[in-house]
Amino acid sequence: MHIWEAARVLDAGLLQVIVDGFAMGSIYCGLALALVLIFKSTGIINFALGEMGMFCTFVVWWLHEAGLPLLFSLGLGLVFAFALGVVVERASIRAIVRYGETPTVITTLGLFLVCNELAPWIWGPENRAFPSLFGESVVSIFGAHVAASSIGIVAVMMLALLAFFWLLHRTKIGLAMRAAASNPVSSGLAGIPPSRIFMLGWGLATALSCLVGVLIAPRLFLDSSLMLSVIIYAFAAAALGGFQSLPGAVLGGIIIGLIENLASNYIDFIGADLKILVPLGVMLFVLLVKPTGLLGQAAERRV
Amino acid sequence: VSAARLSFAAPFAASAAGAACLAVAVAAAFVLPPFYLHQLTIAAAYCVALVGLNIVVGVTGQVSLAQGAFFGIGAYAAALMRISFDSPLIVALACAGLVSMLAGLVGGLPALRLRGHYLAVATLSIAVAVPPLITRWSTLTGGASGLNAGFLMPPSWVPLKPDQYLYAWSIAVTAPALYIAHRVVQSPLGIAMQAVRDNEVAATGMGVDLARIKASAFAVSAMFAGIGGGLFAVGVGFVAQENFTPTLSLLLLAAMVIGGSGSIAGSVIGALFLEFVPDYAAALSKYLAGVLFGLAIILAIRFMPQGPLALVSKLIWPRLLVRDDPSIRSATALDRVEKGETGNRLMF
Repeated sequence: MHIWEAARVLDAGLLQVIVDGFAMGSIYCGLALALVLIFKSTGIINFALGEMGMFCTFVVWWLHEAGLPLLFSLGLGLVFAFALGVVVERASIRAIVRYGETPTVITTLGLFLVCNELAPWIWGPENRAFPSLFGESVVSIFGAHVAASSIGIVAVMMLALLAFFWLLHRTKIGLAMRAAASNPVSSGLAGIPPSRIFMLGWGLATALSCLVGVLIAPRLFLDSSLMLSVIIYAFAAAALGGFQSLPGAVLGGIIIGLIENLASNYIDFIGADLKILVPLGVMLFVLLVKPTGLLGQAAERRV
Repeated sequence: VSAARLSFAAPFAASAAGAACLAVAVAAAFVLPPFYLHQLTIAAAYCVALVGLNIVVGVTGQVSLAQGAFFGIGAYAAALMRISFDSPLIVALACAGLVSMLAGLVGGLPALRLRGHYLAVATLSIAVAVPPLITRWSTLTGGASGLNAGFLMPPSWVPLKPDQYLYAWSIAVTAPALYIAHRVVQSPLGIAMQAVRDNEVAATGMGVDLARIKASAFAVSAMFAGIGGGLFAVGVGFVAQENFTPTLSLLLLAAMVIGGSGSIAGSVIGALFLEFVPDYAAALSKYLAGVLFGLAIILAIRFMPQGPLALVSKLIWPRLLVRDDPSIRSATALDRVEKGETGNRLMF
């Protein structure tokens, strides 16, 4: 094979890997954004977010199996997810926030266990094929074969990200959410009902997590472990970006997705079993050098 | 009844209760059938790990999701010592504790820089990383097929059956672990740990060396996890990486909360819950155990943040536990640091 030809083949392969990396990266962005959304509106990290999304993806699958069109089931699933987030916040988180950060984190871990075991209890443990929203076709771009679903995932996630940016930074509700997160007591005095804002934040984040679940399920197959690796990558992305920052979450997600795909494709030693360590290593390194993440700011603390 | 007399009565009651529990545990060896003794041995292994987790999470206030990984490292270390050098159990357990403690020192490094949820994510990544690394390092660990740690046979001069002998060892390890941890919590180091949990900034202001306290907490906690893991390896007779997934870390955290965060004696309750509830729940559904664990965490934090022991003693003897109120308790640890009980030199 001529050297130029080899370079062209590598290029096409590289482009494919990069597009796939972007697709997975935007998935991580989506969930990282949901994590940051809850964090920004309530000041808590929700370890159960991925599992709640998985549970809602099961609901979407169940509605679709019952004969509803996929898009319609997705719509109903998003509504269900929003309600689930609201109810969970109201029933389990509200009362214990005052105990501080550690008990809250542990409570969300409890929610994680409940969702993770409840889904296979209701729907059974076997993993299922999940229909893609974008079909099975493959598009050829510059000689690289790219799955239509990859492009679809990137497009949908980017739309969702823009919508959330707009909501948080261009609307009154978004302003209220940011105010309630930074100081619940003062914003309550200013006429913002923090409890409703917190419920809204949880509802929106759970709906976003459900959307991520539906987008990723055709690739990973649907079972109770659907979101396990995704949520770990999303945490890495959010921590990398600095938990406080929406652009940080997006940047972190893309970086993690690209690194994951590039490393597992081009570094033989890593392979499929160790590829999860690469983004985690990158995240740990960044956090140790800059504990506030790439785009985060140090939070002020009162004694 | 004066407060002074009560504060004298409280430690006495605690010692008496501890001695009674130990007597019951010893008597169990001669009463219970082998199957239950085996389960109790495993529960003892979990209990030691929970004591460690309590020190880092309950007492020092640093979220750690890596306890299962340290438990696994200890299990492999003990199994390898038994297989390769045919070492006595006590040496294998000491090695397990030492290796895990070193891992804990390294794994605790992020804690020096990170707080709260950042630390939770960082320790979670340790828990995620360890199982695939164990599989990959197959020349040492036997890879996916695991290691056969062999059975522990009683020497000829000991008149016990193998399961009784193993159980006796687990009591001989767990009881001192509980006692030592109890003393550590009351020591200057323990008071400094509680001060860090209650208010990092104020504790620093009073001369507590945050980095040193956090590093010690992680090291001590991982050491306990390693010893527990070693006991587990010998008790089960087999180690495999699927026993030490992040789920184990999660379940250990759940058990710690159920026993009472910060309550060393509560570790026993947590361990019994962790070992026995899944068995009984499995009769109804394979998934019930996980759901129960999850619900138990949520309810325990909501309704008994100090743990079941504190709840029960508050019901029996309400005035005994004045320090049950977290705000009063937090004042105590910091006040004691301020009063110089942790040493007049700025040694922490």
